Amino acid sequence: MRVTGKIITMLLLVLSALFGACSDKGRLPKANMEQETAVAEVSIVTVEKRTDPAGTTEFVIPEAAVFRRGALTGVYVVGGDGRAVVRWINPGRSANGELVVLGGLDAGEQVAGSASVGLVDGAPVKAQVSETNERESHE
Amino acid sequence: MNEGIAGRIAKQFINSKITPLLMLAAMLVGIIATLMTPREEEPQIVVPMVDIYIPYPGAVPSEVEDRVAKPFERSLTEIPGVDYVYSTAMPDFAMVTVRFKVGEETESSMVKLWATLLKNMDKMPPGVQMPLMKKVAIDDVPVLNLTFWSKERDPFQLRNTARDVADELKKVQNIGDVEIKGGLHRQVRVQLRKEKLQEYNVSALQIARQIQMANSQMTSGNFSRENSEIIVKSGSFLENADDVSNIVVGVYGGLPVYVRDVATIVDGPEEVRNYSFFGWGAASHAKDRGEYPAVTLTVAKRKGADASVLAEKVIDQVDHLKGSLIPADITVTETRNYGETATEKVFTLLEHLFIAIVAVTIVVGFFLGWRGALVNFVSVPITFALTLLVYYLFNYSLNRVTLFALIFVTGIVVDDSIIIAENIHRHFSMKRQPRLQAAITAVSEVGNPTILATFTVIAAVLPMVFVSGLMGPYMSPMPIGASLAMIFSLLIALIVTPWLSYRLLKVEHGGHDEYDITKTGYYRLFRKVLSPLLDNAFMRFVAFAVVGLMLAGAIIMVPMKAVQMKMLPFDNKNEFQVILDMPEGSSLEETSRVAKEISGYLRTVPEVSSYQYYAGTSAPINFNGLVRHYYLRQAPHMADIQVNLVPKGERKAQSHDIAKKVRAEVQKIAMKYDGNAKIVEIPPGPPVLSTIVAEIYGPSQEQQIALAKEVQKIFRETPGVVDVDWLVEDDQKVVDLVVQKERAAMRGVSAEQIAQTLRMSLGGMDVGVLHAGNENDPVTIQLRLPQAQRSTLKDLDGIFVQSQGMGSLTTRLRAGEMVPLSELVKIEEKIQPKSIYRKDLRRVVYVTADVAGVTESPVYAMLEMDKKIKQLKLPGGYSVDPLYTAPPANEQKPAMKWDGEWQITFEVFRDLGTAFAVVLVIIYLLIVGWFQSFRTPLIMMISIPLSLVGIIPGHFIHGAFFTATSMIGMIALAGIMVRNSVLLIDFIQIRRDEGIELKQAIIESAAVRTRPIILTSGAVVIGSVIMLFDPIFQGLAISMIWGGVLSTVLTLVVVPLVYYIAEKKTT
Repeated sequence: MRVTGKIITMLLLVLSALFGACSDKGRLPKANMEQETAVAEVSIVTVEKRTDPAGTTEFVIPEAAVFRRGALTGVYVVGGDGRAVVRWINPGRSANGELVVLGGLDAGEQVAGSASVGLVDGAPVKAQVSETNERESHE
Repeated sequence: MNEGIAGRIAKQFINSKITPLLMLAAMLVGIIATLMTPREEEPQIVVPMVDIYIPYPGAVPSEVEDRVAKPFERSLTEIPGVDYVYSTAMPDFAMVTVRFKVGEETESSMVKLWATLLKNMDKMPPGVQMPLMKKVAIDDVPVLNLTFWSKERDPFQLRNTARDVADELKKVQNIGDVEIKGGLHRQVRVQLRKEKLQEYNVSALQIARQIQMANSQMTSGNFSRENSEIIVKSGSFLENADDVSNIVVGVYGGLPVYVRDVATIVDGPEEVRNYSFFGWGAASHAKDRGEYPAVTLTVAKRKGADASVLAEKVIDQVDHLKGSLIPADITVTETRNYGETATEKVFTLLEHLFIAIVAVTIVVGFFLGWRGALVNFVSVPITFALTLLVYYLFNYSLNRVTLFALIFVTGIVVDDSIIIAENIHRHFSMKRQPRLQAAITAVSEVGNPTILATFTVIAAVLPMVFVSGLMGPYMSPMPIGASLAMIFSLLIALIVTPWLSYRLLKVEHGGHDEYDITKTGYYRLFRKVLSPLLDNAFMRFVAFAVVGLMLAGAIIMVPMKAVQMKMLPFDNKNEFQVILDMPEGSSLEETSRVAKEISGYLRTVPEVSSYQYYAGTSAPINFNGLVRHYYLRQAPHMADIQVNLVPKGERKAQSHDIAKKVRAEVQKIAMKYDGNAKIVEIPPGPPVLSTIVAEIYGPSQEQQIALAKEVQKIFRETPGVVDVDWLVEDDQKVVDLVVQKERAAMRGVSAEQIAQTLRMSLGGMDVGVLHAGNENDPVTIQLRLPQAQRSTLKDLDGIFVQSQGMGSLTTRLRAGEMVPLSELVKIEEKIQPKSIYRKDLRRVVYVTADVAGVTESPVYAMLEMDKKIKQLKLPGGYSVDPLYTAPPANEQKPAMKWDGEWQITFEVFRDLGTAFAVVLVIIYLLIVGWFQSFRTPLIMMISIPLSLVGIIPGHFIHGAFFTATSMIGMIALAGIMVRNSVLLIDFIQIRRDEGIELKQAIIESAAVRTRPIILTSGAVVIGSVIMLFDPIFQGLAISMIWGGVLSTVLTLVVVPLVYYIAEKKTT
């Protein structure tokens, strides 16, 4: 009786190990896929076009949207396909938590409001409705 | 029987002990030569091309053109050997490109050029700086690209690593130039703080001067004392950022003002000047969609070095550096390895050679049995071994052209051996003589016509050496290699084949009957076919009419466009590039964004293994880029995308088809941002500016551009014409800060001060380098306003210049008084003047395009557009009649000339056509010399046009283009076909000399000669089959196969008939 029990337990162990191995193999390529990273929720802000009293126009985004990599400055642009894509920008002067963008972004583009939440280039994101979304532009 | 040279040689060697030793030796040296000959992808082409950059700061293009470009061009065209002179007059400098005639020696050309340049420097206006001369050579094209990319590191760190690796790699033997593309340099940035400058009363120029002065050290001299000398040094170099920040630049309120007081000093990466990123494509099965900062290390090879050996060594070295110089989080990916592709190409071609030899052997085996096949199987490799030895001795490399020459002759070189072996076989079967004697008789019988025939084939291919222009170096190894192989094959046929045949050949059927020609199947066949034609004049007429109709039908397919002409079809490569031009004035970030979006599409293409885009810097050039000057593509509005495909074996689609497939989508993305994207493939032949180029000449730039616009429109409307572009910049807005001279004078400020201050604030100025010991690259010290403070005109407000005070004699202000810049300049908006292009002393505007899809051949697209261009009505009532071969005689009215691939096509087909005519004359002369008759050669040469009956429909059946290689095939076939006729008629004459009646002699000779003729033609056909699968050599294969088959069949019927008609009257 005990021997049979042992055998059954062993069998179960072996089977589960086998299954484990199999499912591992099956999952391996998946592990690298973007689906693996859960769809990140981000707040979305719109690139603003602002005109200063002197009449010059400039594009403005919140500073929090920006991340740096060495000398490079980037933001995550959320495109129509719901993916956050890295865009490198040319940063201008910054004041009051806002940054003037000299190149790389167009007015009206959607940018992830915070770049620090561990976004991945090309990964899908979900818009998180927030107050920053509806920020009014200063005329 | 008279033995002749052939018989005597055979007699010497047939029983000699030296023959097998010679065979063995030849094989061995051949194998060694094959292994030792350097392998590379492209043929060694020496086109001395030199770029000369002549800086003329401050000048506008028209001034640069008049003062610098024109005088230089004029003097450069005086140099003998100069083929073309191109120049581009841009704001601030001129670039002159001199192309010497192909084959001119590089060194002497450079010396001549330099002498001419220096001779004319005194004629240059003041302000023109010393020219920079750069030789452009095929060995500048990197053979190996290593991309350093990382998920964690930034471009600055990557470049540092790559640079350290580059330094190590330079130690590898035979390495050429090592360059780094992309990444950021280390720089000490002195970011001026405007408000502080004003506060401390310090000007930017003052800081620059102080830094420069502080950064000096020199040996002052020495003291001599007590029999020894002590060196005295003074000053010190700036060694780090702290040294820079501690320099005193002025005094304020009795206290020193340091650099750190008025500027922020940053030691680190320079300002972003380029974006270079690497990503995996769909074919790599890597699932990450990210792209990573990357820099590319490019490795060129030294002239004459073996690309594959070098690549291996370098990769080996890099592997050793992993872990030490290369940190674990930086991945090094091979993004180009021409060494590997060259080896692969060479081995594929060698494999093809082998298959061809085996195939031919099998054919021979059918006719002569396995022993006969063995004779050929042994003799062919010996021929090639010797040819490869000569390649090695002549310093040829093994590349696609030299190997092509070998494959091309595989079918031909077996012929001599086949003819000899076949005849020995026949004589053995006849059993009229003892074996040794029979063999020698057999060699004597066909030996001399074989020698003649070999020389006709050599005569056919050798004139190709005279193809001029860029295509010349591509073509020349072919006739040379083929001719060498032919000569070796002849020697082997006379020395080795008899030896082998004597020992190997056995007669299978053992009957003692005398060999009787009339009993063979061939005889019965030819009796049946030829007799009625010989006997009946009407039947003969019908036969000729049928053949004539077939020929006419074949030729008419060309104007019917059933078969199209093209220079060379595209090869199946593992890469292509996307060249992106945004409108002038686009920001680097905008360009990089479009490049990224295009890359994002390209990565989804199933055949793409990896890609890398380079915005603001050029991608590692390939052969094409070398001629098109792609290495100068370093402006912010330019980006290159290098697309690597999976190896040929792992995909079904050819690279050209993939390029065609992606073009539409890539251009759609580029169009969305007003950009222009071109798909650039590696050309199979010599690279040109573009496949279709319209050169537009005219009296003024405005008129040229107006016409160019119209032409461009026609280009765009024509189906099949793609990648339309022109070399005219878009209007770029320039803010011109005009110095108000009077005001400036009143304040004691010079125009130069203003210009320099502005330059320093906006563009930055390098004021020196750090003298740090352990840096491989110079670390510059740059003075500039930070990016945030120089983005609008408003920012100019805070910039000040210092008055020079009374010293300037124009002011009463105190020296050192700060004057705001905005008071001294007036802002004017302008359009940047456009660059002026010149070619051979004429102003020219280029409109460029490529062909793909509906028409693959530029000639047809050109003809179609020609009609529309002729209908153009230009202001002033001019009309344009595009020129084809030469530029217009004068520039009085607008004119246009076609250039690009057409120019080369025209030159090649012209030269090949001439070569073909010369070939015909030489063949005629050779046969006249042999047969001592003026008429017989003409009869033999009838078979030449007959090959067209096969060649043209053959191309139609395969849906292929009639290319330059087809033409080569046709020329070579002329030689082969004449040889068949020679063998045929030679035998008729031998029989007639023996007293046999004309008709009988004709039928007999046709019967006897059919076997060797079918055998040799069969060898040519079968030997060429393997080439059908190669995109470039396909045309050659079709010519050889279809032309060979039809021409052989027709030759066997038509030539005897014509001979009969001709000879009938004389007897």
